[in-house]
Amino acid sequence: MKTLSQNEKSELLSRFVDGQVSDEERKTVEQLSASDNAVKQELQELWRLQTLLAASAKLKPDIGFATRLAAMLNDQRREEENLLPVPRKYFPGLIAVGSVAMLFIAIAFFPKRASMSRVFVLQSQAVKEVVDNNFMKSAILPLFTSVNRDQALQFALFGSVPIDDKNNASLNVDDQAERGYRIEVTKAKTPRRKTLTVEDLMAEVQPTRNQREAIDSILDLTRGRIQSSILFGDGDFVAVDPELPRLNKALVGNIASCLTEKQQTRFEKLLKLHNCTNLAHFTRTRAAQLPAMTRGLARASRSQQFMVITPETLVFANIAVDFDAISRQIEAQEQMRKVVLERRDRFIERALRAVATNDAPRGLPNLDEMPDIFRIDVQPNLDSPSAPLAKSVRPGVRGKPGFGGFHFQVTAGGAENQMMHIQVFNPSMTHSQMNSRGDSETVDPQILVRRLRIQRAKLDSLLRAIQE
Amino acid sequence: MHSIALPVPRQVKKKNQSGIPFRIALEEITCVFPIVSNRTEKIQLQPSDRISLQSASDETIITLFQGGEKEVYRLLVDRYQERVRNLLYSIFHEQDFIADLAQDVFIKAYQALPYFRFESSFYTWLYRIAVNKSRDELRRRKLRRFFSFQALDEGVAQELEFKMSTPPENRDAHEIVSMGLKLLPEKFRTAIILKDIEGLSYEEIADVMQCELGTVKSRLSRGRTMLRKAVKPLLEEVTE
Repeated sequence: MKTLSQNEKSELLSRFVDGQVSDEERKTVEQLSASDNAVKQELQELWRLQTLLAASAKLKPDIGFATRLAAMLNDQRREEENLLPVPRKYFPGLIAVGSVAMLFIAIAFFPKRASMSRVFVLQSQAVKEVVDNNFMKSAILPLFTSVNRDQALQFALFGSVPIDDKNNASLNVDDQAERGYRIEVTKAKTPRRKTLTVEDLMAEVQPTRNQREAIDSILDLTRGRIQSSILFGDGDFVAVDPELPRLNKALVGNIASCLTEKQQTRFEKLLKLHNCTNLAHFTRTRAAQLPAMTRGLARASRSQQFMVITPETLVFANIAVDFDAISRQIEAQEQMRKVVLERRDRFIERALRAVATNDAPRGLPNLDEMPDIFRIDVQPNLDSPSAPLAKSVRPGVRGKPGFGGFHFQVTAGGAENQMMHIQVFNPSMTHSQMNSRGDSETVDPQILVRRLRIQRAKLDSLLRAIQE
Repeated sequence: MHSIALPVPRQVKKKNQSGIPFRIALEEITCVFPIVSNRTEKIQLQPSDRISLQSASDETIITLFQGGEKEVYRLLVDRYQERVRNLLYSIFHEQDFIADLAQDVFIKAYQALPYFRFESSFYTWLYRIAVNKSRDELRRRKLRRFFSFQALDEGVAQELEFKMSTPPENRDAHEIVSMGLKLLPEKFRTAIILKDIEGLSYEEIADVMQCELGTVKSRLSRGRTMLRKAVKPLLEEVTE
């Protein structure tokens, strides 16, 4: 006899008490029962259970059940009929009439189906145009939409973030200039240098879990900060956060302060090994508390003051844009991301052309040969004897008495097209005066765009008058 | 006797070809309507017909129902309401609640009966509806218990505890088995109820529970083992 497992035995016994076994199985059960007391007892228990279950309490007949049910069914039917606009018996007729009417409509429109589909196509195009022209056109969009942690680290260490791989364009911030700093968007001809990734950094400094989390959150804050620092919009303007160069220093310093002394040594070695341009920002610090560091970064990212540059003007303006909302939208909608990227490419080309046309009226230069898309040099105003050698442009500093202001030199289109703007800010001529508006005014992005267009139109007409 | 044009669903014809005694049903109907003229309009039942229908088969009644004679549904309700109520009672053991649930079952059956395809017997089809309804209800209770953050339906465990604490002489073996049954997972409980209380065959249980025959055997075996182990100590006390 085949040895049965406990489960097989139980199932066999279960079928046995139900009378669902073959003759052979019945014999097996009888043998088992005779030889094994446990089986015998199990069988008895099963029979007892079966008897008890079969004799379990039954409900008394419910005499009113069918009547109550009939009433409920009637109510339900009445409710359904009340919901219908016409009596149910007219339904077949109505359906027939409706079908014939549909058939006639279909036949009538069949020859014109081409024109009808054209109407739909035109309508959808019109809607798209309306969205493009009205919604997207006056929008201020970030130049960077998806900076990752590696790129944020690269920016901190080398002062450079790639805008896109297609054009080899990148944003460079050079804080090493002798007396000021330089922000430039460049089209590099040579491939970019080898980058230092976050994983390389982690492998070298071997952070603890807490340190790793701290560094990740610092990098995340930096990503957001980079994304909200450079904006572009229709009307060929670019808005740059003048605080951007401070970000490098803050980031390198903050990462260093997360680390222990030994780790800081390894970090410094790594920076030297990779010839980091921002090595100067590295200072040995005592490990700081994370909330204090991130608070500093977050505060810096709340600045709303931007240098707004068009081919004709340079103004300071407060631009209040909800970057988080914009980023969320861009990330969530594939279509939106596509539109933003298209518009960014168009903007870069258009800005370049506009600048080049203004500066080189004899003809458009070859865009591909231009190394720089635009460059902003910020230097202290040396004409003033009291000019400090400050490296940053901060709204508070600009207002200090005796401060000589800064030169802003905006360049575009390479060496041939230098001197696009030279603007001097000093305490007696603040950006608010330049804008002929109240100080520290928050400008609605759409109003700003309109104002810039008006300025441009005025300049165009002035230029035409001079030429005539 | 005139012949009558009954609205016979196509499925019935198919069934008839495959051996279901459709001819008997037809004969029954012709007996039921002896004075019907050459008719193609809707069947009108006379009071005397209703009396004759008491003994008609389920298939006959359903055919009439599908032919537009909705009132015959009451015959099916009368025939099966007790069994359905008892089935639900075996599952839930709550007398007040059973009436509502049984009504839901018969309303659902009323709505679905025009689409009944005679592929199984009416009562297994009706049991299937009842089992599905009780599954829905159990699921709803489980959710409610989950979202209320406290066991609203702790009744089972408490009741069994109560049974344990009552003196053995006051306990009833039937009650103990019923309570043990209520503790089983739904699929095992339903299989045992359908087999041991309702007396369905393995094939019918498979039809009601919409599973394979092997699954029925295994559920019955596992359910019985679980039940046996759960109630054994209590039953021994009662016996002593």
